[in-house]
Amino acid sequence: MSSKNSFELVTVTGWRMGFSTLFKKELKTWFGTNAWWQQAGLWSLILVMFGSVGVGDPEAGVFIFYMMAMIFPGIAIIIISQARILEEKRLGSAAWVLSKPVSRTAFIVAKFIPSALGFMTSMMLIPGILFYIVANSLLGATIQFVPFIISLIPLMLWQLFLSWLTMCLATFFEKEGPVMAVPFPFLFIGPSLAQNPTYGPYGPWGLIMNSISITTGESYPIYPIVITVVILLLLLVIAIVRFQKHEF
Amino acid sequence: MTSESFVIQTDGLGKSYGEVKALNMLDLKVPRNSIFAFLGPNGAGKTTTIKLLLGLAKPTGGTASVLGRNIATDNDEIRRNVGYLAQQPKFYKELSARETLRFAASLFFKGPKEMVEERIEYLLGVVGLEEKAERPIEGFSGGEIQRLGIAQAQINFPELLILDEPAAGLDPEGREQVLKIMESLRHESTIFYSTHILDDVQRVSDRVAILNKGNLIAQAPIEQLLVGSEGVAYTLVLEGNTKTAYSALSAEKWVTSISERKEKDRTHWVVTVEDNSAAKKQLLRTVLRDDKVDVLDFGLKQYELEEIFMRLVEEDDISV
Repeated sequence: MSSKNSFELVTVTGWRMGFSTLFKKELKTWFGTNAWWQQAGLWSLILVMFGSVGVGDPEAGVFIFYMMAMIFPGIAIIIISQARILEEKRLGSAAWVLSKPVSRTAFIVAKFIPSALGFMTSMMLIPGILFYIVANSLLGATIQFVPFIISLIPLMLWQLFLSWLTMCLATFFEKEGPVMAVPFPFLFIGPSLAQNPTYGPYGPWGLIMNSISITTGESYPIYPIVITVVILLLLLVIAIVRFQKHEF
Repeated sequence: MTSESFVIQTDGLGKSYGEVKALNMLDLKVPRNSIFAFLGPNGAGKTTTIKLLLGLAKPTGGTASVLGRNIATDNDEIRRNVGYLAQQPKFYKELSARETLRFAASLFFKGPKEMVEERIEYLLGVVGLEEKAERPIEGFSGGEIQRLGIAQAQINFPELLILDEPAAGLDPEGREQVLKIMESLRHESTIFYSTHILDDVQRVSDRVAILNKGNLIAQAPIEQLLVGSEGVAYTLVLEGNTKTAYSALSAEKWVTSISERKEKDRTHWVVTVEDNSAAKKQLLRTVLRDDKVDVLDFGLKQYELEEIFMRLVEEDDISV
C-alpha cells in the first residue's frame, strides 16, 4: 500500500486553495453534461422564433430578439443561479467541500465564473449566432456579423448581472424567496427602465440600448456598461466577504 | 502526557447563538492513536464542537488546537491533515463513488495519477464499494453513503479522522459494517467520533467524553468509566437466611456498603468495597463461613455504559 509521502501534494495556499479543482468541477457541471446544449437548444428556438416575427422589418426583428433575450433566459438564469449556492449550503455539500483544504473565496469564485461562462455561451452566444444565420440566410435580413456579435456583449453583461446578483443574495439567505425576490423585478421592469430617457443610461437595464446602438450605429452613453462592470465586481466582493462569515 | 500527545486539545471552548449556549467551556483532550467517542444526547453540542474544530463555525469563547495547530489561525493546515465525515454526508449526487473520491483526492494530491487511482481502489475495497464504484451516488443507500463518506475522509492519509455520528440512522447490518471499518482504521489514524449509540462506544472506543447540554460531564478511558464512580463492587446471588452473613460482612472495614434486593427465594447483594485486594481474598470466605446461606453466583460488578451515562446525565441535569 502507498503512503502519503509517495504523492505529489497540493501546496497552494491563500484564496486559490482548492480553486482549480472546484473550477473544473463547476465547468463540467455545465459543459460536461447535457445542460449546455439543452439550454442552448431551448433558448435558440425561443429567441430565433421571436426574432423572426419582425422578418418584414429586419431592424424590428433584431430589436425583438434583444428584448426577448433580455427577459426570457433571465428567468432560467435566476432559477439556476439561486440553486448553485443555496442548495449546496442547505444540503451540506458546501460544508463537506469546505472541510477540505478549500478557501471560501475559491468556492465563491468557482461558482460565479463557470456559471457566467455557461450562461453566456448557451443562452446568448449560441442563440445569437443561430438568429444571425436564420435572419440573414432564410429571412433576407442584412445584419452585419461583427457588430451583431459585439452587440451581444452588453446583453451577456445583463445576464451576468442577474446571475451574480442572485448568487450574491444566496450567500445571505437560506431560502429561495428572498434570493429571487430582488432579481425578478429587475427582469420585468428592466426593459421599461431602459427606454426611459432619464434613468435608462444609469443602470444595467440600459445595456439593451447599448446592444441596439452597436447594430444600428446610433450613439448611446457607455454608462450602463461601466456601471454594470462596477456592480459585478462589487457583487463578487460582497459575496466573498459574506461567505467568509457564514457558519455551517 | 505532553501536549504533543493530544491530537485535539480545547481550552474553555465555547459557542453561543445569542442567549443560547450551545457549548460551554469545553476542555477536551484527545490522545493520539485512540478511538475517542464523543458521547451525548441529541443537541448536546457534539456537532457544534466538530464544526468549530474544522473551522466551519467560529467559537465565541476559548481556544482549541488540532494536531498542534490553532483552529482560529491555522485552519487550512488542519484541514490538510484531517479527514471528516459529516452527520448526514452529502456529496455531489451526479458523481459516482469513484468520481467523488477522485474529486476529494484532487484537493490534496496533484499526482501521480496511477497512485491516486490505486489509493481510490484501495479505499473502495476497505469500505466494500468496489462493485458500485461507477454508479451515481444518487441511488446509494444510507449505509453505502456512510461507507463512501468514510472512504473520502480517509483519502488524504489523515492523522486524525473526525466522524460525526457515523452509525446513526443505519440498519444493524450497516452499523456493523461501519464499526468494522472504524476498527480496521485504528492503526492508520486517531479516530474522534461523535455518537449517541452507547453499544457502539463500548464496543470500539478506548476513551470517551460525555457531553450534556453543552457541558462536558465526564472524560476518561472507557475501562475507568465503567468501574463507576462508586468504586469497585461485587455482586452476589444468595439463597437461605442471609442475616448473619450480612452482619459479618458489614463489620468488615474494607466494605463500604451493601445494597440488598429480594427476588422470590433469592437475595441479590451489591457490595461496594474500598480495598479491592482484601475483598478479593475475604469477601466470599466471610459469607461462606455461615452455613445457613448458599452462594449461587458471585462476581465483580460490570457496569454498563448506559448505567453510567444515564446517571451522569441525570446528575448534570439536576445540578443545572
